[in-house]
Amino acid sequence: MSRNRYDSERLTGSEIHFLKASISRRRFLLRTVCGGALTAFVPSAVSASPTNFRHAVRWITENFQEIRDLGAACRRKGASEIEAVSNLLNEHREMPDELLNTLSRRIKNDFANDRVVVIDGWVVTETEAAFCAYCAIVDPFEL
Amino acid sequence: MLIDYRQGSSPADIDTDLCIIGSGAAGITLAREFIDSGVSVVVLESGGMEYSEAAQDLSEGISAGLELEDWGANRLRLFGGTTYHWGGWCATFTEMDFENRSWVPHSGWPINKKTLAPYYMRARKILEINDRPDDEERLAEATKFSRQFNRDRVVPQLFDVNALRFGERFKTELEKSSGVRVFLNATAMELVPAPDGNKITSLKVGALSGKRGQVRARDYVLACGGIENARLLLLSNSVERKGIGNRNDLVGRYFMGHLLAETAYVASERPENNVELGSEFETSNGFKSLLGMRVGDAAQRNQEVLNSVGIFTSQHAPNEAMYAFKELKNAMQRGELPNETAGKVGKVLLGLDDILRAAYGKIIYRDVNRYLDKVWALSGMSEQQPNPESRVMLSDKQDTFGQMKVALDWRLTEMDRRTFQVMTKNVALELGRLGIGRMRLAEWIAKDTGWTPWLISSYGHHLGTTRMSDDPAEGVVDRHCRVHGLGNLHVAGGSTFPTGSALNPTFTIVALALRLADRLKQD
Repeated sequence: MSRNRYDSERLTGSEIHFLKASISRRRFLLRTVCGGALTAFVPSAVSASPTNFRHAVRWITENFQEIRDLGAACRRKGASEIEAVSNLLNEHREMPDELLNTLSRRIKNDFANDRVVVIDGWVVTETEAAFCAYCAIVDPFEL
Repeated sequence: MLIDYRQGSSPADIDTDLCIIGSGAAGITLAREFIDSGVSVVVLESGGMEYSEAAQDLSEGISAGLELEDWGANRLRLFGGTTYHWGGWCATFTEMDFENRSWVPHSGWPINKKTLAPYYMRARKILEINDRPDDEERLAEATKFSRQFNRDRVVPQLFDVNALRFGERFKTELEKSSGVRVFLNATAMELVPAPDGNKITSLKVGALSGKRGQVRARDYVLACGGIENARLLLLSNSVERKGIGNRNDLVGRYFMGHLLAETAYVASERPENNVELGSEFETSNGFKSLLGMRVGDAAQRNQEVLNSVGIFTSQHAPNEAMYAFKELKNAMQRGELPNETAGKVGKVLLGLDDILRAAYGKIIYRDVNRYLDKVWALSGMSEQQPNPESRVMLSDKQDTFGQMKVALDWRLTEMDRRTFQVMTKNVALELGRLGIGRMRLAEWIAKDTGWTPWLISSYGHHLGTTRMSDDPAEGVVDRHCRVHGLGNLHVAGGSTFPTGSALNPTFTIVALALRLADRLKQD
């Protein structure tokens, strides 16, 4: 799947600018984008339309090997929330607004309560670590 | 009056009321307080009005512990001293900086912030910085996210910024003063005490031209920096074999820098957040300010760490080729090969385009980072745990005068390292909670890789070597900065700091110099 298949008009203008500007950068900056994408891109994509969650995960899993690598690292560290997040994603897959709110709330609470892990240098919340781990194991064509 | 000590018209022997050794921020501040006071003052400056390699070489020393970054660049021997390259960051130390903290061995000043408060206000005028000291009021003018911090984790830390060059700013004033004589190219060589060791009777002075003489004064003040203050006391060993003020073997011990290092890189969640991450701003009354994030008092206490502050700076992206190139270059300058030489050469070859861009930027614009990819980095600045084993000593190598050069055994502790880790994590939690961005830790923070000398800097702040304490067994000077056991010898500058705070020292150095001037006037 090429990047052109990604339905970019469903992102906000600033997110498109952010991603496009960064995609052309070198490896570190690509990783940086992925870090930002965890909350900036994914929840926004999820919220944009009922189908966008699938687009988002497919796009991430196919084009951002870095996220999958991060997810693999999360799994090696034993991402404890992976089942909860997996259930959450499946439960809310047709209710993106609710999913977005729940994810955002969980992530914010994680930060507020020091529920973070360091994965490959990134300080990520347990919820995000589980999301990355989910991306690492999911088959995008079964979504 | 400015006098070149090398000239025949300058007397070799000088008599005065007060002799100040050093013309940096502390020395000039002190001298100005005595203009038109009726007290005759002599300021000795080892350098001249301009930078000279010959004078600067007198500051060279030998690293016996961690390699201290560029000795020459850190201490400037010329009129105005190291203010010629300071960044002008000013902030008052916190109340807790002065306290005895149970988790920080050897912490605690004999004075508190309240003692210094009036002198901080006077120092604001001298340093020409914002005279509105209300942080909360000024904070309202800073970026908005700073007001949303969970202050149990990090507190906003304001700096006033004005890199005042003391030499340029106060030259004319001192030149016109008849009561203050500044002798240039006059190096203090040895303090000579009375036979009973209770006071200083004279100071031996020399010029690189070969001229020798002495200064006889009623009072003497050392104001030549955290390394040279200790060195001159140790060199003054003709009567006291261990050096002056060193009966308890404390002179030169507890050497501290301000630790400075990049600890993390920031992925802002939206481009507009980059504006928020910018640290500098201008207040409504026209003063330049800067905002950092300091680990709050509660967090320091709860997590048993030192004071530290983080500042966002726009940096080039961490670049393995550049790091490998630096390691190869540093090793080759020492005539050695670094570990894993082949791997480092490979990284350099793979990243040759970055190296060429860095070289081009440096050659054309004197800016290595100009053409390298930029990211926001979190630069951490921390105080250092007072450690008696971290010390300034005399080496067996001699300078041009035949004086022993300094050997510096600079040591860091596990608490120093943990402080950086806690500061970085607390900032990461707040950036994430506020939806501003995410942080990727530098490898030395994320992993227990030990200290990497070329990643860490002392920030050129040299502190603690003549520390202040009411107990002669714990400090070299008392609360009035008078050397214990000597009636007429005082010390000014960062060498008197028992602990260093996370905040830049010059503001406090100037405040302490004003306090010392008042004390000397009373005497």
